Amino acid sequence: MYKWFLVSKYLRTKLVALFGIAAVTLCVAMVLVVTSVMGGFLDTIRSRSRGLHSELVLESGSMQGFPYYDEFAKKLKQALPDVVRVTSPAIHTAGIFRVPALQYTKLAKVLGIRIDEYVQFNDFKKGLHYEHYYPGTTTLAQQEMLVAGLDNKGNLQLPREWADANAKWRASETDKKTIADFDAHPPDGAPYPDIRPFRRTESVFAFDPDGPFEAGPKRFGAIVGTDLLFDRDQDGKFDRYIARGASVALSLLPLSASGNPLGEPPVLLPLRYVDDSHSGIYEIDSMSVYVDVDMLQHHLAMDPQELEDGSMSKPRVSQLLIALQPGVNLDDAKKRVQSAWIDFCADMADQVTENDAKNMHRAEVATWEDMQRGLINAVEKEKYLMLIILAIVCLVAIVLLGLIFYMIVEKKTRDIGVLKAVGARSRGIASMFIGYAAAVGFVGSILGNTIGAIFVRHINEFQDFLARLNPQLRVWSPDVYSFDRIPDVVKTNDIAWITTVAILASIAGSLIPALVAGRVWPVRALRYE
Amino acid sequence: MNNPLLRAKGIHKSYGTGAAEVKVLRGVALEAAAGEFLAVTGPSGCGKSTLLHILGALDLPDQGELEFRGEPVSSANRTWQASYRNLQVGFVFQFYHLLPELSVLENVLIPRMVLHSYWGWRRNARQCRDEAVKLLERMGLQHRLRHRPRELSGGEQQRTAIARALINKPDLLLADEPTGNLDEVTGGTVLGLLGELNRAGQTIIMVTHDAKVAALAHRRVHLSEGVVREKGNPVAERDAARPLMTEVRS
Ligand SMILES: Nc1ncnc2c1ncn2[C@@H]1O[C@H](COP(=O)(O)OP(=O)(O)OP(=O)(O)O)[C@@H](O)[C@H]1O
Ligand SMILES: [Mg+2]
Repeated sequence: MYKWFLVSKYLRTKLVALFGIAAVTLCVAMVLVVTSVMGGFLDTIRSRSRGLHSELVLESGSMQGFPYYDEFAKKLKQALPDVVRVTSPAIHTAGIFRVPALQYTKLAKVLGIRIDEYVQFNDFKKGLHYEHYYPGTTTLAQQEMLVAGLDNKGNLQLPREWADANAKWRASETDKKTIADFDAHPPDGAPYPDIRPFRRTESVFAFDPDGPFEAGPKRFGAIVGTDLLFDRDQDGKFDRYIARGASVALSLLPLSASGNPLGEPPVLLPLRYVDDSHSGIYEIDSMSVYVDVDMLQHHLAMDPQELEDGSMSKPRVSQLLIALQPGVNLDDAKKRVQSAWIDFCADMADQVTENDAKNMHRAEVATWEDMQRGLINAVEKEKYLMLIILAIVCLVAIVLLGLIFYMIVEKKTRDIGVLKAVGARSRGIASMFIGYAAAVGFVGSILGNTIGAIFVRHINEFQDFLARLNPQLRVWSPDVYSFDRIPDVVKTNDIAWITTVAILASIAGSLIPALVAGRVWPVRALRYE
Repeated sequence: MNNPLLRAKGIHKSYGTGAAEVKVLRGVALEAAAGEFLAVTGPSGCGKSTLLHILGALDLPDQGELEFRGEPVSSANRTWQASYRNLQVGFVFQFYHLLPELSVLENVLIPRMVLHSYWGWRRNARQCRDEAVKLLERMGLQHRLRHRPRELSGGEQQRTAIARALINKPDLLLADEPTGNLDEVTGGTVLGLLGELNRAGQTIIMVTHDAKVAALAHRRVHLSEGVVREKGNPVAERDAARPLMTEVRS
């Protein structure tokens, strides 16, 4: 019984217990903060990587793409209906992106997609800016530039299509503050469509509710990676300095089925900026331009072309995106689709041209993880690194606790002698100090978890506060991490394992001093000064 | 003595090894009968404390055997020794050795807490507390129950230590210079208490280098050069010490 009694007594009266608790508290808080932020970071990267891709991709090994994708898609749907949900062709190529008004050019990864299908494969739609506030208005089809005007009172009037879409968003948005923010400014500083005088004869900025609402020639739409087009301001918000519908252009280099550049000058493709896509991964958002796949196919001469012998070539794409039925195992599905493709190639072998056969042979099935291998590997490496760092932190904590308990035992040697002199047994003394350590670990982890959790929950406010003192103190820059906010979610899992480790570490730290304390002869302890 | 409570035979103890070896006890033989008040005297550094520690199983002799009620102590296992220290002997130290974080009452209760399991204690806590309070009243400390040791005088601390030694009603009380750190008057009070306990049947072995204090005992043995010699204790000497003891009762 004396163990319980003395542990509670020592906890309340010994200053050194406070040191032990403080050490555990700090270690626990530190580990919780690191795990939460790093874990949140890794989770976000992973889920965003997933959000970029379809589950499986039949990927061309070469830029000129592969043919017979439609035929294979049909065969897949027949042969593996329980595995494959939907497929969609896509084209990848390189291009030079240009904003004519600014004479701004940049290297771009051009993706041809069927947007209606593409949004079913991944989180693409979530990252679209205008589509969020004006649902249903983003399309890659041919379109004119939408224009808005000012009515007689000087209020902005949007084209009816936009106003209706925005009303739909307002109805579905539950957060009042988001709506208020939207009304206060255009979202993220985005300008409205060009505001133009319609009836030049009446007033400069007059708005005709009956239209016309469009201006300029019809052009295909392009969705541009947000970081490709825009920079962030100091608050981390994007400065959308060109209007929706503004002219942009892509220069492309068409390749023949054998991969030779076609003998024409590069294709110049005028487009309209209809939306921007923010996946949250900077490497993607600073490079990608999304356009309609059929249009791109045509301009890259991947559509049927007349061959020298008068026959027509087969259309080519560089990817066939494949979404799986719910609950299907990814690696399993990969194997089955891959073997289906190999069978398909074998069946077609005698009908296809030599070039087509080569291109088909090069195509392979990959999972979204394979596609994002580089990033995911980096993420996993970082995770191991973090685990090692955490292990070192834990080790330091154990050593620290060991020292603290050694100190405690040292200071209590005389008391141990007294306890033994009145009949306490070695095991009792040892278990008393171990219990003491466990109690210190327990109290420390409660405090540490509380402090750590509060810190993590408010980490963004904390950073904002620091940044207000001095902008240099902003450690988490959205430019660097392409996240607007530091991850601030605390997982109960993490709390559970950290608490367990902290208590075990306290016990481990106290084990040697406790066992030593238990074994001394009373006289040794009593003569100890 | 046919059936002594405690019997020590051929106790040897030395400290250090080689050239630094100090042979402190070289074959001590000692017996104490139940109800006896025995004083061990000897010059400072002759090994009185060493002997008493061995008698209380706080330390092991290098050689020799110690029997309590005919049962071996020094060769018993550690569990038995722990229970011997808990139940059969009470030890009073020269420097009191109270636990500083605990109140007087809690200090006295510690041997009881050691005795009981958690649930055993919960069942008996009230009764134990009552016994401890009664014991402390007998020691004249009824007003000091909640005080910390450092808030007490030396005499009060020593009386607390005696109460702690007695709480489990041991057959044998071992006292190592119980008055060594006290002035004459407080020392007298403590000695008076011991005498009173002895008259109530408590066997006591007390170590002292002070002949006047030793004079209170029934029997005196003298420890020197590692062995004990019996010494008479004339009745006259005991009577002379009486006034010292009466102070307790007032
Ligand atoms: N742990 C130890 N290591 C070495 N020598 C020791 C140890 N403990 C005691 N001694 C020595 O043993 C001898 C006896 O010590 P002990 O404390 O028993 O004497 P004592 O008779 O009680 O003396 P005092 O009257 O001063 O209390 C002393 O010379 C002491 O220096
Ligand atoms: Mg001594």
